[in-house]
Amino acid sequence: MNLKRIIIADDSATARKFILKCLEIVGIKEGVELVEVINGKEALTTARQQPADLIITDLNMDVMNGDHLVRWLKATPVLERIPVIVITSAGNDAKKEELKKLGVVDVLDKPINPMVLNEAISKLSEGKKTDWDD
Amino acid sequence: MEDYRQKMDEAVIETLEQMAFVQAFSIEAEDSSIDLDQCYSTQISVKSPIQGDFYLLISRDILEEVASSLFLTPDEAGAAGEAMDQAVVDVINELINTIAGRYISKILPQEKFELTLPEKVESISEANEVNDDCKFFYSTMEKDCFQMIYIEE
Repeated sequence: MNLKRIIIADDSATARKFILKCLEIVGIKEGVELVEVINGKEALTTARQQPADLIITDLNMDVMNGDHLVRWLKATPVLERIPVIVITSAGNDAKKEELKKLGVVDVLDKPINPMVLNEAISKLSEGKKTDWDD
Repeated sequence: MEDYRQKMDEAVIETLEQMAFVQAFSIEAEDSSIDLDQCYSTQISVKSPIQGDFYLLISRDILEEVASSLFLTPDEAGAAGEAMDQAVVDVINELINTIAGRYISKILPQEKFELTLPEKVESISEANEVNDDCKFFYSTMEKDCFQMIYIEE
């Protein structure tokens, strides 16, 4: 999958910087527009203004959290096809199951590492979602 | 209780290592040299299905180390000022969010839960006046001590 624009939604600058570092380590930075936003509402607005190839989002955010962001994306015809990867500290089995049913590609545990993030993104190009679909 | 203590230890040590690249280990209260007056502190709560409050007390040295590796260029790393102050606050908030989430995920793997947003602690002395069973003490390789408090309602 040719990623040209990725939206990263997290109210924590630390978390966003960490994700950027991971993307850089796995080589997903050159030629890719990385857009940082601080909540789900900004992610929606940004995605509406210009299409994104991937949204990476936290769950626990002010104004609009990740759950609501995912629901809005999936309910909006022009946005529903944007793949979403959730990175959260609240991703236990029950939450992952719920997010899977909403159509999220993958749910990764904070703190992530470059290999895990790369594996999730690689599955996009293979047309796979997660092991849940096996 | 020991099972809960082990899960808190795992949550803290895993987070410090994987996010902050700081090696930490659990210590006994009497071995802790934490100076509460010199600590940054933050608080986060779990609202459902259980209710409880987490507090993290940690030195600025550890926070600056993490912030420097993530936020600043080598030239800026030695600088003080507003940029570092903001970075330090952001780091401690992300640390407690991650630790609390990992801990609750370990004790409630099959139930969805909600965390509040991190908030600055107004009175750490008040939070610190709890039973020792609610306190978890840690140290880094550099002998910096820090503390987690979890009070379940």
